[in-house]
Amino acid sequence: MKRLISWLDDRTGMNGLLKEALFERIPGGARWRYVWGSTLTFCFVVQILTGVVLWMAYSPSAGTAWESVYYIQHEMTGGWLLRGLHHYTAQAMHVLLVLHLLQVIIDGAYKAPREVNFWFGLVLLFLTLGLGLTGYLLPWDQKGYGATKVATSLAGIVPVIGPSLQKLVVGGTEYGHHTLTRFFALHAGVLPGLMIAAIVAHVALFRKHGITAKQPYKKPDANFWPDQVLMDGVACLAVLGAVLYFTVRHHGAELYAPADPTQPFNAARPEWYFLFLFEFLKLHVLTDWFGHHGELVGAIIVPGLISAVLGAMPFIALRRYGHRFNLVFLGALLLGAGLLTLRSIRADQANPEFQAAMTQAKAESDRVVALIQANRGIPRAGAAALLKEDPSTVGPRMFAQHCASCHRYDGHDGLGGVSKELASAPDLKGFGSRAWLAGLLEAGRITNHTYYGGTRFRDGKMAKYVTTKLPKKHAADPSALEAMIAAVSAEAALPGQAAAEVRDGALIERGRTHVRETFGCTDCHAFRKPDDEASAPDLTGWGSRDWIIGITTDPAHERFYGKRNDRMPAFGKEGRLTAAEMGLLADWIRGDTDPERVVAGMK
Amino acid sequence: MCPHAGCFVDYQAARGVFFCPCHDSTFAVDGSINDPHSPSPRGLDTLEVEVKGDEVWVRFRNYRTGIQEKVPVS
Repeated sequence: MKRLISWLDDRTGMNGLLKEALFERIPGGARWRYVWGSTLTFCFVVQILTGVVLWMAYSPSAGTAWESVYYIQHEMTGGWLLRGLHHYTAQAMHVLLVLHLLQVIIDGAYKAPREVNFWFGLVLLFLTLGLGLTGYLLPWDQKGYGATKVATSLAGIVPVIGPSLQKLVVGGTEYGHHTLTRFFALHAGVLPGLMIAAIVAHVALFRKHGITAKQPYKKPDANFWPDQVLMDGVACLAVLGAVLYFTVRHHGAELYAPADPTQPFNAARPEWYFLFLFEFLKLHVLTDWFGHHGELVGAIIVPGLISAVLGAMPFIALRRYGHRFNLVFLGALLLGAGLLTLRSIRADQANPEFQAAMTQAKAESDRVVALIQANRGIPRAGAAALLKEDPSTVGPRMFAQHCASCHRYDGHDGLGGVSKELASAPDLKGFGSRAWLAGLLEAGRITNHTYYGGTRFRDGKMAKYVTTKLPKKHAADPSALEAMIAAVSAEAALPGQAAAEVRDGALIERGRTHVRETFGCTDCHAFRKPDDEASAPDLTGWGSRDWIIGITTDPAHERFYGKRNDRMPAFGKEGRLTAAEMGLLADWIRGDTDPERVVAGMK
Repeated sequence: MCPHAGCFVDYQAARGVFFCPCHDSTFAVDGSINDPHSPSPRGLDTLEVEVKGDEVWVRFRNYRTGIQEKVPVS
């Protein structure tokens, strides 16, 4: 072994290099405040290692990026751990960079003759931010897609070179596949390459000038080995521990639903370490003072000036009170960024629209996983295709778009939006269920705006019947109403009531007789057999999938409202919705959204 | 798309406005700014529309964000 080492040393000089590294003098001995550079190097190594392994499973194209990240997160052995390590180490790096910068400024390690080394440090800071920005897009999920789109738009407002710069990073005029391939090349090639070069220069210059020891010395001088090595090691392990804690707690890193350029994603926000900039751009003072130049000032000029001051710090320090100015400037900068970050988080917490969007985004990301698992894999058309035919994803959107100007769903527009206007048509949450029907048949409620209050049927025969005759019949035979409701609701065959309907077979059977005899529903409605005389909507199959598709196709059809139809448009007949779309809407309203059933229906 | 920073602007039928989630601000149905705190330098961009027979042809283009003038990205 010794011979081998000396053979190698003769040819490489590695022993000398190792000695130089380990026996570097530290005036005043080892201290905890010197660990930050080492923890950052450690993080960078972790990122390279995890990054390369992620690369082995990642597939950078608009059609496969999300799918390959899904594979890493949910299928690959230890994939979630790998993603989590990469994700949270990136965040740790930003925190450590700030601590390192603080220590360098406080200890005066940026002053002559270490100016160039300080600048390399700043270059590393910006490269790290660049890696964070480019990495955010790579999963090609809704959040990264939406947030990064904004970042590339901001590039366009840089004076003179902006439009060309934007075109370069976006890969043309349209944000999409080419943006992804460029960002991947930047994230896995260009930026890490530059970073390695900058780290080499940074460390080489650090060694040339030696450590900037903090006065006063508390201990005698010592070598890097062993005390400082131990402290650095402990600090690196602490960082790793923190990263592992977050990774395990969140089971890897979050992955939202696949990017869909046709759908709004109102929960898009940049990564937390960019929130201060995001919030800064929101400050009204920018538009108040600079008018339409506010964006340029906020996104380019102010950050540019701040960077210029940071870069000029070694020269500022030469002046009287210069070092103090630097300290105050950095302190104010960090305080300001911290306050802006807090303000941004608070604003989102207090914003119901954002909270609703976040809930929807989380639900969608869980949903796509459930669909993929029910489908035993991702179809060739990609994961987004599963969501496009999923009633619980598409249903509420279609409802908000086509139905919510009259109807409501549990008081909102399907997506959580609440209108100030009263509904002019019934609330369809739970349509077809016993509870919905029981509400309709309650004297005080049928004329409310959750039922017929906003329609012409408010003063119609049905409302009159429910208000006057029905309570008397109910008083005469209290059990009949429950049975009748069960019988009519059974027509809908809702999946949510399937178990109850098997159990209540006798009740339903009795109810069917009550529909005809006790309540006389069949005086106007048809029920379970054709009736040419019927003047009100058909109760045969009421609330079933076919029934809902039927009334949405043409509410003025004989089977439904006929000539008495209020304002409901004939969505199917007019070609505004296809049969498949109306089916998805019906499935969603009926709660028929079991992933296995939905996936089977797609085949 | 919002002319401020390129966020996805969606029509909210319930409120009768175009809503931008990034800065929680709105545009009127005709695209004009109707929020006193809107950070946007201009209203929503309109697209060229042509009716050919019974078809409507829309010329879709992206416009540069963050500036007052409407300049297409080309």
